[in-house]
Amino acid sequence: MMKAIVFNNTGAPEDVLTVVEKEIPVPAEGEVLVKMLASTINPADTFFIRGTYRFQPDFPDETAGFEGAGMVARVGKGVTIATGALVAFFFRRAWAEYAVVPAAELTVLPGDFPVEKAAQFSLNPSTAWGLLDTARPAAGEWMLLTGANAAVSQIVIQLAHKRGVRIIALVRDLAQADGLRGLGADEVLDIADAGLGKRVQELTGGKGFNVALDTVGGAIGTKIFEHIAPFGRFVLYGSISKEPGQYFNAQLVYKNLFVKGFGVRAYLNGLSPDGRAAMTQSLIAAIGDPAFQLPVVRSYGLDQFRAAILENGQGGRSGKILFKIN
Amino acid sequence: MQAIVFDKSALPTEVLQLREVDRPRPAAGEVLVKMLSAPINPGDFLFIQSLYPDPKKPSLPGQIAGNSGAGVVVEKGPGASLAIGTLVDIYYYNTWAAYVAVPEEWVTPLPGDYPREKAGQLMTLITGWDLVEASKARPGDWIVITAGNSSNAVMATQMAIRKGIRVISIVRKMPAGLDLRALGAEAVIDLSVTGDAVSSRIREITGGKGVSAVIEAVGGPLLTELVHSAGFGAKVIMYGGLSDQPFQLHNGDIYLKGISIESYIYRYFFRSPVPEEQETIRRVIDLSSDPSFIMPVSGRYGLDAFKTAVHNSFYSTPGSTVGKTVFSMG
Repeated sequence: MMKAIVFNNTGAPEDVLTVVEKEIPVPAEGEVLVKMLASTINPADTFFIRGTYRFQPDFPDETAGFEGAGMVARVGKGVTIATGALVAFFFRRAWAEYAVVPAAELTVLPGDFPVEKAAQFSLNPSTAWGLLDTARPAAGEWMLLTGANAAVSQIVIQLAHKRGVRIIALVRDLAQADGLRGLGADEVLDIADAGLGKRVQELTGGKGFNVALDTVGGAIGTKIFEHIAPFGRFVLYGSISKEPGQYFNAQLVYKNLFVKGFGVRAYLNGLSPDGRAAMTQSLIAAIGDPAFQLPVVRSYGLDQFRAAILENGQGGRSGKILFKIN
Repeated sequence: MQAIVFDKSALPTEVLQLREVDRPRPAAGEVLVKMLSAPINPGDFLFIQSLYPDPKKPSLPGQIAGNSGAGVVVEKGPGASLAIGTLVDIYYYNTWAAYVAVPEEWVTPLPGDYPREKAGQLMTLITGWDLVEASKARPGDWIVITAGNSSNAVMATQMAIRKGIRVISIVRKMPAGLDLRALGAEAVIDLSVTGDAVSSRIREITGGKGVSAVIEAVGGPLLTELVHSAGFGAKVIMYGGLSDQPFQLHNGDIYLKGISIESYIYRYFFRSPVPEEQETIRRVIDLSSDPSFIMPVSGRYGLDAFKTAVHNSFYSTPGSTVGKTVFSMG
């Protein structure tokens, strides 16, 4: 038997989740039984538990959690991954002591890869990689990020800084500035600062920034759009603002700009198998570096899920909440 | 020779003058072209007002206006290879004149039997071709083309349907003297009739499928609505902005559907054609030389009637006339 965090109705996680004992699942052909080591809490988990995700839970006793890492305990027919291998995935039923995952959904990591990083390997790093691959900032170019303290942005900043990209990080709370500078941001600015545009112009020698990764939109989108350089790339992947942004065609055409909405699923589906393998290998190398930070604020056991969910809901953190399992 | 010249950058209706100037001599690598026709494009007005980005800036005083046209090679500078008598299309400077000396890399030879009345508009043809290519639309896909009466849109429409792409043309008002349906648009949305119901009309026309691309030169509320009605992964290919209003979008309108907005600037704005592009250019020339391919002209004027030509063109309400206003020198 194994422990799993399950729910039988959609709703607020703190109301509907419970820990139960379940049968350890058996991997079918092409599947792997993973003995879990750690799992993350992501926004997608909450959507799924509330019933607002892109697919619905499978009751009774649906196990929550999408992302995590563990050791291969057993393999189904036709699977060539060795027992004992460290693997990471973004799939289903990750908040449990064991999970069955199709082999194709697994990333095999080096055996000495840190477990806390392994648990976070499958979602945010691919998103960060995809954002950079879409916006393509070159060495020496300026890149502006909104929501710069979010987990994805912290990865983007580290990857981009290593490539020689110069980074302007916009945050709501300048208390985060030192941390972001430590990751490689060249400048950290308060997103509400009225002198923002002037500062961007100063930093970029009057040319404007070359790339923006924006998760806010609205009035902020309109404002930063004025300071983009010719041939700039504006990649949108979130919408914290509930207001629309306002844009003129002339701004886009005269500067020959490119605006792209980014979603990680569509991005990954569009990659060739080789492209995907290259991404995975690059991310393993970059994130495996001890200097690369994927901070964890606190870890909880599965039994302590209520406290974990509560802390996760508070926001304003500079890192992930994890379940440590087994 | 006669040329339309300006000495300072301001409104074209104020600064242009007809002047007798020396006929240019072709320098090394240049050909002297006797002009047959030259269109009046919106870009020509930007050039006169010095509103184009570098390096497309006038050399003042005494800059001859006009950035494109067609003519016949009458003289070769040292090292030039084109044969005397070759019909050529030009995208360069100084084309509103009886003669122009042009570096050879900025001229494109046309077949000798290319319809004379279509020559001089290769820029519009290549723009139409490029807009459709950039849309990445495949045969059977629906696309929307805004400012449907404009020359670029009329070219893009005809290019698209020749690739099996299905076109919805959006116009402010149904034009007189041009039947967009006859040119191949399967549906024409007349904004003066449809009002705000563009999205529902598009859903109706495409059977709920939506469009895979928008070829766009308007902006404002129309673009907001077109993005709302676009399908997953749709592309907006933007090359102009006739509306004086902004378009409004939530980030979610863009990223939840993976929409991209790409701006298009004429491919030879910053550089001249290269040999690898000859095949594309030949295809564009072949397609357009067919009599069924329509390239409307709204009026032909001699250089000495430039005041009327420029005034009519500069102050025309977009969409009110169909086709280019052209200078005819031949």
